Amino acid sequence: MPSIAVCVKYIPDVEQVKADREGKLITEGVSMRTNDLDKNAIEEAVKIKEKLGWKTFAITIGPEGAKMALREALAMGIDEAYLACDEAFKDLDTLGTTTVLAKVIEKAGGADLVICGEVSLDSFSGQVGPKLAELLGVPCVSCVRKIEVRDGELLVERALEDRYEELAVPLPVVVTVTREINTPRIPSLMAIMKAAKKEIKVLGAQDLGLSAEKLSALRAHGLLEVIVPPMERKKVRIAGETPEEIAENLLKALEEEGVLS
Amino acid sequence: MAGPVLAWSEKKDLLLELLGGGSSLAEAFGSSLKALVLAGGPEAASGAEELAKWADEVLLATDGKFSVPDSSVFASAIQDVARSEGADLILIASTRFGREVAARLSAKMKVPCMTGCTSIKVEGGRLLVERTVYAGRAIARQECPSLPCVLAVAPRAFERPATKRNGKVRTVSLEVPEPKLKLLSVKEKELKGPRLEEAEVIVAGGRGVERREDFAMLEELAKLLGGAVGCSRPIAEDRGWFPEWIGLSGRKVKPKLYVAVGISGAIQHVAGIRDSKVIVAINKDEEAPILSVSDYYVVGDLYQIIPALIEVLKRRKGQA
Ligand SMILES: Cc1cc2nc3c(=O)[nH]c(=O)nc-3n(C[C@H](O)[C@H](O)[C@H](O)COP(=O)(O)OP(=O)(O)OC[C@H]3O[C@@H](n4cnc5c(N)ncnc54)[C@H](O)[C@@H]3O)c2cc1C
Repeated sequence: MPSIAVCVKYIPDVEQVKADREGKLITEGVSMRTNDLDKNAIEEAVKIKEKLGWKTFAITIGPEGAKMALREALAMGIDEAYLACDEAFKDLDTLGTTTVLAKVIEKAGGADLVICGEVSLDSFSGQVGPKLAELLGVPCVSCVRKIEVRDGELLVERALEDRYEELAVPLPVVVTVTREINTPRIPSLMAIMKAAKKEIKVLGAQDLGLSAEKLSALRAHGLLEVIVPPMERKKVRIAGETPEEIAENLLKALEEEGVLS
Repeated sequence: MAGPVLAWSEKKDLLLELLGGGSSLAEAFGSSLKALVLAGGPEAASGAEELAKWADEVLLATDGKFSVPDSSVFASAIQDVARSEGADLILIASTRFGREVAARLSAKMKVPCMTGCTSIKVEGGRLLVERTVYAGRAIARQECPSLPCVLAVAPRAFERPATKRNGKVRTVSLEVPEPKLKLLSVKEKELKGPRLEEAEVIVAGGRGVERREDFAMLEELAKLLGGAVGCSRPIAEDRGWFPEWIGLSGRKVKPKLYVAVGISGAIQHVAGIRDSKVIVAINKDEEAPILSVSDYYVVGDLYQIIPALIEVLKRRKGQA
């Protein structure tokens, strides 16, 4: 039976991040969540599973806490889950991340289709899908907003800045999906309770045959700082008894700003 | 002295931008600036002469396989050229396709790669990069750890070139692998070009605007204010009412006046309007995030407020 791997990342809620007094990013105390676009990836995998009976599994790299993302994937209908967890996996660069993902996919018996989100909202680099494809030696189509499996081939629609492309790709393949591809389901309470009891396979560097030496060469370097530029705005509420009065008051304010021609 | 700066993009206008920024990087490196054109046919090859004015050399490879948008094929071709030229810095425009090619290329070459770069500078011999992170909320400052490296540059991060280099076009022949993708059809969007980026006033509608026809109201308001109409991404990509949208993944705008109508203010949207002088929000939800990033806001129903604004503006114009 063909199988689908979905790569997910557990990230700080980007809507909640704040700056300290020097304008540096603070993520401490910010709640964690599954990267939004990875939920689109999970949903798409589950849809294909429901239609064609393919086997699905989800992978994440992270600490124990990242199991939450896998539980969510299981609750949404993914069959199996793998957590790649090791001190040596900390602070990997994207090549390191994809090296680990490729090993987990291999360990799970390979995948005919790998689905990732287009980008993870925190690091915002969009490199994991294409790099993983390179390591697996398969084609990649990123930013896909429609997928259909037909005669062992994948028909996809890729959304680019200036056009939409309809493409046919042979399996195996890696695709990354946009937010438009579907609306991720919200799992039922029953599904969540069932998922909580499912096994999550935990794999370390040794299980994956990755040496400390190899991994240390794949560590991210060179990050100097992350700053949050201020968005200082006046935040003046315009009120009035009637819509006309509100309109008058708003236009008066804009006139004073000198932005009305 | 480092190896050449090599620039490639599937879009000619963005390749020109790369030459603009690439020129000062090449200078700082004490190296040369080369542009790479991978053309699927003679039409795509035209314009190489024009580019050569702004580079020390344009390398031109023509092969029918480049008419298929397969990132693996492009990455393989760029790798060949980078290797034979000894390039130390590879610049690629960070479009959706360019980002894919950059990532694949760097995985092939086993070198560092950064995407969405908004600034690239050489300072004291260090290559310093700024890139957008946290969905547009933050900026990461990074030092490129080693050369060669691949940097995917956000559109409009670089100015077009100003100093001529008057290079020549050199035809190169490459061993290009067979594409694995098949391009079945292409649907072009009808883009209106820099209209929004240059507008002084923008009235933008979001999902709060219920029907396509209701945008007529926004058009009328925009006209009275002397501006253009824009929208949020769902209006373009989910509903298909417009070909383009405003925000991090769409157009970045900097009008004097930005009016957000029925837009919630997701960070990805706000990242594209940050440079506006005055932001006005009209939203019926008192908790909508857009309100806290606006200068003036109205909590109310757009279907009442917009017609009232039009009314009052018309009356004023009538009197003037
Ligand atoms: C990787 C990525 C990139 C993205 N890039 C962009 C981007 O570049 N640009 C972008 O816009 N989005 C982008 N998005 C999507 C973004 O996250 C939001 O989903 C989107 O901006 C929401 O659009 P909206 O505000 O129109 O809709 P909603 O969030 O649904 O907001 C509608 C608003 O209308 C208000 N409203 C409803 N009815 C009325 C009424 N009658 N009167 C007044 N107010 C009313 C509601 O209170 C609500 O605040 C991106 C997402 C991802 C994952």
